[in-house]
Amino acid sequence: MTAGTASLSGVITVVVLILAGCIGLLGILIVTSRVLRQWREHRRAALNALTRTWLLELATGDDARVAEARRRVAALDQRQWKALEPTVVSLLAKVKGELRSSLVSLFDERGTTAHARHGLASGGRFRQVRRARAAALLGSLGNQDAWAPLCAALEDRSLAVRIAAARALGQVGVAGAARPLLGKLAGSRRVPSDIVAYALIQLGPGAQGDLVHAVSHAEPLVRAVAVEILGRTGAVSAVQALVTVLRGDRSEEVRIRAARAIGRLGTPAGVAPLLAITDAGEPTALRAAAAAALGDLGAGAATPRLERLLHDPAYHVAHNAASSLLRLGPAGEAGLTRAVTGGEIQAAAHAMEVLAIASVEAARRPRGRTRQATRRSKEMHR
Amino acid sequence: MNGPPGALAAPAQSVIQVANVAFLLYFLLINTSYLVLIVLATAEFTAHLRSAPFAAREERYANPLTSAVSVIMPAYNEEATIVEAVSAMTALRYPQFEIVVVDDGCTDGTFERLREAYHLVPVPRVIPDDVRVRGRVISVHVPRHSAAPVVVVRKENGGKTDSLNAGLNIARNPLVCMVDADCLLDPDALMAVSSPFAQDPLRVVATGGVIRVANGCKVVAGRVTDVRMPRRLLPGIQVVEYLRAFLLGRTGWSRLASLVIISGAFGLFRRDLVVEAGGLDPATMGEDAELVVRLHRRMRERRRDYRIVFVAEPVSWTEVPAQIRVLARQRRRWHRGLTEVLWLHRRLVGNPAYGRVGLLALPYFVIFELLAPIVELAGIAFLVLGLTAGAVNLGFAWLFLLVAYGYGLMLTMIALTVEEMAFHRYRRWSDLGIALVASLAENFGYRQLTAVWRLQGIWAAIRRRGHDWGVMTRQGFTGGSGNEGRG
Repeated sequence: MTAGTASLSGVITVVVLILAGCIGLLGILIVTSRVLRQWREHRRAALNALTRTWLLELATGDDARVAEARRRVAALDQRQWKALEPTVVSLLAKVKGELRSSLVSLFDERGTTAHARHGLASGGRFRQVRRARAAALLGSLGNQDAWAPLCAALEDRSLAVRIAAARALGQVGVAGAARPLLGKLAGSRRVPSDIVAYALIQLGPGAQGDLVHAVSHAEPLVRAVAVEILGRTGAVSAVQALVTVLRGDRSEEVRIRAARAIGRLGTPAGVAPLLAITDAGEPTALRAAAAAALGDLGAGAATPRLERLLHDPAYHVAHNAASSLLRLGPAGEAGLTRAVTGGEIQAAAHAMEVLAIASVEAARRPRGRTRQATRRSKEMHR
Repeated sequence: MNGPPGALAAPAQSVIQVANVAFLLYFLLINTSYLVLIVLATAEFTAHLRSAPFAAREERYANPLTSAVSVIMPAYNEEATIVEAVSAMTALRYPQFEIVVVDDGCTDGTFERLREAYHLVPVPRVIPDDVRVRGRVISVHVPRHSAAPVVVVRKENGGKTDSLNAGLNIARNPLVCMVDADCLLDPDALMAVSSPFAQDPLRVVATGGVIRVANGCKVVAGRVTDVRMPRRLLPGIQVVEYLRAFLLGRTGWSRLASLVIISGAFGLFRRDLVVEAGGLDPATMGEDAELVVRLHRRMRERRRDYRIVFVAEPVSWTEVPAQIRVLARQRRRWHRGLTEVLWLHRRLVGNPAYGRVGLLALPYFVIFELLAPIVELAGIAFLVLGLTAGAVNLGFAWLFLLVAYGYGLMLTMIALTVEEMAFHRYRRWSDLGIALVASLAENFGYRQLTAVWRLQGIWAAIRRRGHDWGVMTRQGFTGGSGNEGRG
């Protein structure tokens, strides 16, 4: 054996020893992790069993029992309180009024609220879970005093903290949080859109001004989310802003969302712009969205155009037009019946489809409501 | 390194020695690449597990950015399980979805079972020709009485890919989820796999869910209610293999923004983009991976900002082969599919115009996935040759095998550790014992056999033999006799 091959074998021997050591350590890690987790679960279950009755009384008992249960919970030692805290927090989301106020004050008395505010301000990479938990707790408590630190936490380097802060801002419900929340849809330290969207909805009508402002933001995602929420929250005053987006936004996706939003808002001011978008020169997906939105909007004036759209060569435009006609009530149904008997195969097929499905759906409903569908079905077969 | 001299000429011995060192280096590299993917996956899980408790899944139900989904279930002779499978799908927690069952010219009672269960009635649906379909659609049916969001399409037989394409045409929602009819989804699976679309609605174009092994698990009403390791070794080995390759490997690739495989058994796509890309390619055996690579290709060529994401939990459960011959067929098919996809998109390999997918993911798949069975078998052959020719000594051979397979064992152990710490699905101590035995046993025969089958898959792709979907013999989730469907 040469010196070279001997040293190669030596190196490989070392590697094998390292591998064997690693495999052994991983085995120990798996076993230790499992033992620790089972021990923690067991301990938590035991503590919860001890305090569950008090918590039940707190949530459902009469005044005297609630007071007694509250006194007992307030007197729990720190270890027991830590085990019980997640259950009390989840209870906060399910109760209202006096009981909720009583539970919130319990957190204040125990110093948990102050501790959370202190925790939210704690720095360092290794305290990110503490900061996130603190933000989540302050949100659950609806602590309005914390809205400014929570806005600051939106800039945290940890995604978990930013998510917790965004949700908390929605729960706290201070409308001034809308702008910082919208800002987290762009830039380097983002928050997932669904979290921001839900928080913005929770902020209520007070956020509409910032949302209208956001529909002209440079980032398409910000515009898309703002448009979506304006449509979902009944922001009737924002129709003109949405129409502007529908007509001229750079992103087709944002325009499609604007069409849907206008449909949901259901104001007459949306009819003409939506009809204009169904013109052949616009992208097909947008035209299809506009055809569907006219049905959502319930615009009887759109019936003639929708009837014409049944003949559109783009499947989704024609199909959505048929569905919209059905939703427009008797005038729309008459249009569909005309299409069935009109002789043009494609339009008749789309009309027959929606009438047939409506008939099946009507048959599932209670008897009184099926007459109309039976009539429709008969007309179709004629 | 060299053994008894004189068995072969010195130059030949040198060649064998150099080859053995090269094979050893290849093993080290391939295992190190797996290690890197596992480390990336661990970082992803850590970030996910940290933020998950604060993300409030229940709020997604009422979230305006949660898009409606069409679940497409192609079915071929699944009469034994189809009603249970569809019922389980209808019980998924999701605000708005429809289930499109595509009966691909079944010759058994698949449709009859569905008709009885849901009192199906035909409806005159107008079907767009967004994607070309070979098998003609015969009829479309919806439930007469219940409001279950089920649409059943009967079509002439055209294969699984053709069924998926037919389902794409029928699907009415902006997102389409492709699942196998024999898969069992966790109740929140749809919510989780669609979550990236809600988190980043303008950029995410596709997401893949993780596939886990259902063999051995307790299944009630189409739901996995008790997760257990299979008691048989062959499925047990596949459990650890799926953990390492599917759960950790794909999460690692997703972290690198280079995910090129989304399993056909559980993937969610933007319908408009799949249609724009022409649907699934029936000429390719790995149609799921081919679609993902094609999406990457199109998005890159159109310079669009996009993301393809892997979601690690919850999961889709599938029954894996419990018999050698069925496993062999599956692995030949998988590797043939991979070969076809890489050949079809060879222009992307090493091409900087396609970013990380072109420069990292696809070259990796060529070197460490496509060629792996060739190198692995050649490595073993050269080792045996070296030993018999006296070019390498027995000590080196043992060390060689230990490094090649010992490293692999360590990776599997890391995968089990990550599973234990992040997901801990297998809660019994006996499950842990079986997993450890399976991790060890994988290296003795299983890996070598799969290498042979994968090599046969490459050969089948080269010879371009007709596609054979094969028959997957299933034991069924609730006991009873096995049933055969497309695997």
